[in-house]
Amino acid sequence: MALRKRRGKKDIPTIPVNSFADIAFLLIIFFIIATKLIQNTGVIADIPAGEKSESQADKTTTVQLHDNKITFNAEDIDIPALRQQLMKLDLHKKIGDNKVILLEATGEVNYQTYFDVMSTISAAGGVITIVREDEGK
Amino acid sequence: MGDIAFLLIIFFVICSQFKEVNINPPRSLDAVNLKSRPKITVEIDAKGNIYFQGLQVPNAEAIEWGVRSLLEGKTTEKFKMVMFRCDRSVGKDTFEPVIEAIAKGGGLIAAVGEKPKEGGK
Repeated sequence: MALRKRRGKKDIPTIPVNSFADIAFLLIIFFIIATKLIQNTGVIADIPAGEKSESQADKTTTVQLHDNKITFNAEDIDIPALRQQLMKLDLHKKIGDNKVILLEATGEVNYQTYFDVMSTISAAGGVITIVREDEGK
Repeated sequence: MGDIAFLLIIFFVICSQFKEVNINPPRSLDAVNLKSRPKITVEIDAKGNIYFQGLQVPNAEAIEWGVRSLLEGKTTEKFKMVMFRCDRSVGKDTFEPVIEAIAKGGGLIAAVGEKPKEGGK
Protein backbone atom coordinates (compact mmCIF):
# COMPACT_ATOMS: atom_id res chain seq x y z
CA MET A 1 0.00 0.00 0.00
CA ALA A 2 1.39 3.32 -0.94
CA LEU A 3 1.60 5.83 1.84
CA ARG A 4 0.84 9.31 0.89
CA LYS A 5 2.34 12.04 2.99
CA ARG A 6 -0.44 14.15 4.40
CA ARG A 7 0.14 17.82 3.78
CA GLY A 8 -2.01 19.41 6.40
CA LYS A 9 -2.08 22.98 7.65
CA LYS A 10 -0.01 21.96 10.72
CA ASP A 11 2.95 20.74 8.64
CA ILE A 12 5.89 23.14 9.20
CA PRO A 13 8.71 22.99 6.66
CA THR A 14 11.95 22.06 8.42
CA ILE A 15 15.59 22.73 7.59
CA PRO A 16 17.51 19.50 7.13
CA VAL A 17 19.96 19.38 10.06
CA ASN A 18 21.86 16.25 9.14
CA SER A 19 24.94 18.15 7.94
CA PHE A 20 25.19 20.53 10.91
CA ALA A 21 27.37 18.11 12.84
CA ASP A 22 29.78 17.84 9.93
CA ILE A 23 30.04 21.63 9.69
CA ALA A 24 30.60 21.79 13.45
CA PHE A 25 33.46 19.32 13.32
CA LEU A 26 35.04 21.14 10.42
CA LEU A 27 34.92 24.39 12.40
CA ILE A 28 36.54 22.76 15.43
CA ILE A 29 39.33 21.36 13.30
CA PHE A 30 39.78 24.73 11.63
CA PHE A 31 40.20 26.56 14.93
CA ILE A 32 42.57 23.94 16.30
CA ILE A 33 44.79 24.19 13.23
CA ALA A 34 44.57 27.99 13.09
CA THR A 35 45.86 28.39 16.65
CA LYS A 36 48.78 26.06 15.97
CA LEU A 37 49.81 28.15 13.00
CA ILE A 38 50.50 31.29 15.04
CA GLN A 39 54.29 31.08 14.89
CA ASN A 40 56.55 32.93 17.19
CA THR A 41 59.88 34.19 15.95
CA GLY A 42 62.59 35.45 18.20
CA VAL A 43 65.99 34.91 19.70
CA ILE A 44 67.06 32.74 22.60
CA ALA A 45 69.47 34.73 24.73
CA ASP A 46 71.76 32.92 27.13
CA ILE A 47 72.11 35.20 30.13
CA PRO A 48 73.61 33.58 33.22
CA ALA A 49 72.24 34.40 36.64
CA GLY A 50 75.47 34.45 38.63
CA GLU A 51 77.56 37.42 39.68
CA LYS A 52 80.87 37.78 37.90
CA SER A 53 83.95 39.17 39.59
CA GLU A 54 85.31 42.54 38.51
CA SER A 55 88.70 41.22 37.42
CA GLN A 56 87.14 39.69 34.34
CA ALA A 57 85.98 43.05 33.08
CA ASP A 58 89.35 43.97 31.62
CA LYS A 59 89.91 40.82 29.64
CA THR A 60 86.39 40.13 28.45
CA THR A 61 85.01 41.42 25.17
CA THR A 62 82.65 44.29 25.83
CA VAL A 63 79.85 45.75 23.79
CA GLN A 64 78.69 49.11 25.04
CA LEU A 65 75.47 50.83 24.15
CA HIS A 66 75.26 54.53 24.82
CA ASP A 67 72.25 56.49 23.58
CA ASN A 68 71.60 53.84 20.93
CA LYS A 69 75.19 53.95 19.63
CA ILE A 70 77.12 50.71 19.70
CA THR A 71 80.75 50.52 20.78
CA PHE A 72 82.77 47.32 20.49
CA ASN A 73 86.12 47.15 22.26
CA ALA A 74 86.25 50.95 22.33
CA GLU A 75 85.44 51.57 18.69
CA ASP A 76 82.12 52.70 17.24
CA ILE A 77 80.46 50.08 15.16
CA ASP A 78 77.17 49.18 13.48
CA ILE A 79 75.22 45.93 13.56
CA PRO A 80 76.59 44.21 10.41
CA ALA A 81 80.18 45.06 11.38
CA LEU A 82 79.52 43.88 14.94
CA ARG A 83 78.23 40.59 13.57
CA GLN A 84 81.41 40.20 11.52
CA GLN A 85 83.66 40.96 14.47
CA LEU A 86 81.85 38.50 16.71
CA MET A 87 81.94 35.79 14.06
CA LYS A 88 85.72 36.29 13.85
CA LEU A 89 86.00 35.46 17.55
CA ASP A 90 84.61 31.99 16.77
CA LEU A 91 82.59 31.84 19.96
CA HIS A 92 80.81 28.62 19.04
CA LYS A 93 84.05 26.71 19.58
CA LYS A 94 84.91 28.30 22.92
CA ILE A 95 83.72 27.07 26.29
CA GLY A 96 82.80 28.57 29.62
CA ASP A 97 84.10 32.05 30.40
CA ASN A 98 85.64 32.51 26.95
CA LYS A 99 82.17 32.74 25.50
CA VAL A 100 81.18 35.66 27.70
CA ILE A 101 80.41 38.99 26.09
CA LEU A 102 79.74 41.87 28.47
CA LEU A 103 76.82 44.03 27.47
CA GLU A 104 76.72 47.46 29.04
CA ALA A 105 73.91 49.88 28.34
CA THR A 106 74.02 53.50 29.43
CA GLY A 107 71.97 56.57 28.67
CA GLU A 108 68.88 56.34 26.52
CA VAL A 109 68.78 52.91 24.92
CA ASN A 110 65.59 51.54 23.45
CA TYR A 111 64.69 47.89 23.28
CA GLN A 112 65.01 47.74 19.48
CA THR A 113 68.74 48.50 19.61
CA TYR A 114 69.27 46.32 22.67
CA PHE A 115 67.45 43.45 20.98
CA ASP A 116 69.54 43.88 17.83
CA VAL A 117 72.75 43.60 19.84
CA MET A 118 71.42 40.71 21.95
CA SER A 119 70.40 38.73 18.89
CA THR A 120 73.71 39.41 17.13
CA ILE A 121 75.67 38.17 20.16
CA SER A 122 73.43 35.13 20.58
CA ALA A 123 73.64 34.26 16.90
CA ALA A 124 77.44 34.39 17.15
CA GLY A 125 77.30 31.94 20.04
CA GLY A 126 78.14 34.34 22.83
CA VAL A 127 76.91 34.20 26.40
CA ILE A 128 75.64 37.62 27.43
CA THR A 129 76.47 39.12 30.81
CA ILE A 130 74.70 42.33 31.64
CA VAL A 131 76.72 45.08 33.26
CA ARG A 132 74.68 47.48 35.38
CA GLU A 133 75.98 50.98 35.86
CA ASP A 134 74.78 51.54 39.42
CA GLU A 135 76.16 48.33 40.85
CA GLY A 136 79.46 48.66 39.03
CA LYS A 137 79.63 44.92 38.29
CA MET B 1 24.28 15.61 18.19
CA GLY B 2 24.51 18.88 16.32
CA ASP B 3 23.65 20.83 19.47
CA ILE B 4 26.38 19.10 21.47
CA ALA B 5 28.88 19.75 18.72
CA PHE B 6 28.03 23.46 18.64
CA LEU B 7 28.29 23.73 22.40
CA LEU B 8 31.73 22.13 22.26
CA ILE B 9 32.92 24.53 19.56
CA ILE B 10 31.67 27.55 21.47
CA PHE B 11 33.35 26.28 24.63
CA PHE B 12 36.73 25.83 22.94
CA VAL B 13 36.55 29.13 21.08
CA ILE B 14 35.82 31.03 24.27
CA CYS B 15 38.47 29.19 26.27
CA SER B 16 41.18 29.89 23.75
CA GLN B 17 40.62 33.65 23.71
CA PHE B 18 43.10 35.19 26.09
CA LYS B 19 43.93 38.79 26.64
CA GLU B 20 47.10 39.55 24.70
CA VAL B 21 49.29 42.42 25.69
CA ASN B 22 49.70 44.67 22.65
CA ILE B 23 53.32 45.21 21.79
CA ASN B 24 55.32 46.23 18.77
CA PRO B 25 58.15 43.70 18.69
CA PRO B 26 61.67 44.71 17.67
CA ARG B 27 63.06 43.55 14.36
CA SER B 28 66.26 41.66 13.76
CA LEU B 29 67.72 39.60 10.94
CA ASP B 30 68.74 36.95 13.42
CA ALA B 31 65.23 36.06 14.52
CA VAL B 32 64.58 32.35 14.24
CA ASN B 33 61.48 30.27 14.75
CA LEU B 34 61.12 29.58 18.43
CA LYS B 35 60.41 25.87 18.47
CA SER B 36 58.55 25.54 21.71
CA ARG B 37 55.93 27.86 23.13
CA PRO B 38 57.18 28.54 26.67
CA LYS B 39 54.63 28.33 29.42
CA ILE B 40 55.97 31.37 31.26
CA THR B 41 55.50 34.78 29.67
CA VAL B 42 56.86 38.16 30.68
CA GLU B 43 55.67 41.17 28.70
CA ILE B 44 56.38 44.88 28.71
CA ASP B 45 54.07 47.17 26.75
CA ALA B 46 54.85 50.54 25.19
CA LYS B 47 53.86 52.38 28.39
CA GLY B 48 56.30 50.37 30.48
CA ASN B 49 53.77 48.22 32.30
CA ILE B 50 55.19 44.83 33.20
CA TYR B 51 53.01 41.75 32.85
CA PHE B 52 53.76 38.29 34.23
CA GLN B 53 51.56 35.49 32.89
CA GLY B 54 49.16 38.15 31.62
CA LEU B 55 48.75 39.90 34.96
CA GLN B 56 50.29 43.28 35.65
CA VAL B 57 53.05 43.36 38.27
CA PRO B 58 54.56 46.49 39.87
CA ASN B 59 58.28 45.84 39.47
CA ALA B 60 61.03 43.52 38.30
CA GLU B 61 61.45 41.85 41.70
CA ALA B 62 58.02 40.34 41.39
CA ILE B 63 59.16 38.85 38.08
CA GLU B 64 62.19 37.28 39.73
CA TRP B 65 60.09 35.65 42.41
CA GLY B 66 57.44 34.56 39.94
CA VAL B 67 59.95 32.99 37.56
CA ARG B 68 61.84 31.34 40.42
CA SER B 69 58.73 29.76 41.87
CA LEU B 70 57.42 28.52 38.53
CA LEU B 71 60.78 27.06 37.57
CA GLU B 72 61.26 25.15 40.80
CA GLY B 73 62.20 21.60 40.06
CA LYS B 74 62.67 22.11 36.35
CA THR B 75 65.97 20.85 35.02
CA THR B 76 65.92 20.68 31.24
CA GLU B 77 66.41 23.75 29.09
CA LYS B 78 63.09 23.26 27.38
CA PHE B 79 61.18 23.75 30.61
CA LYS B 80 63.24 26.70 31.73
CA MET B 81 62.24 28.88 28.79
CA VAL B 82 60.62 32.17 29.56
CA MET B 83 59.00 34.04 26.71
CA PHE B 84 59.96 37.71 26.86
CA ARG B 85 57.87 40.08 24.77
CA CYS B 86 58.78 43.72 24.91
CA ASP B 87 57.76 46.73 22.86
CA ARG B 88 60.61 48.08 20.77
CA SER B 89 60.38 51.61 22.17
CA VAL B 90 60.77 50.68 25.86
CA GLY B 91 63.78 52.27 27.56
CA LYS B 92 66.57 50.31 29.22
CA ASP B 93 65.61 51.48 32.71
CA THR B 94 62.43 49.44 32.34
CA PHE B 95 63.54 46.33 30.51
CA GLU B 96 67.04 45.76 31.86
CA PRO B 97 65.90 45.00 35.44
CA VAL B 98 63.27 42.65 34.05
CA ILE B 99 65.80 40.75 31.91
CA GLU B 100 68.11 40.49 34.90
CA ALA B 101 65.26 39.33 37.10
CA ILE B 102 64.37 36.54 34.68
CA ALA B 103 68.01 35.46 34.51
CA LYS B 104 68.34 35.53 38.31
CA GLY B 105 65.19 33.47 38.63
CA GLY B 106 66.85 30.80 36.56
CA GLY B 107 64.94 31.31 33.33
CA LEU B 108 66.30 30.97 29.82
CA ILE B 109 65.08 33.98 27.88
CA ALA B 110 63.35 33.52 24.56
CA ALA B 111 63.11 37.13 23.37
CA VAL B 112 60.40 37.65 20.81
CA GLY B 113 61.25 39.66 17.73
CA GLU B 114 60.31 39.79 14.08
CA LYS B 115 62.31 39.45 10.94
CA PRO B 116 62.52 42.77 9.14
CA LYS B 117 59.88 43.16 6.45
CA GLU B 118 60.93 43.39 2.80
CA GLY B 119 62.24 46.83 1.95
CA GLY B 120 64.13 47.61 5.14
CA LYS B 121 63.38 47.84 8.86
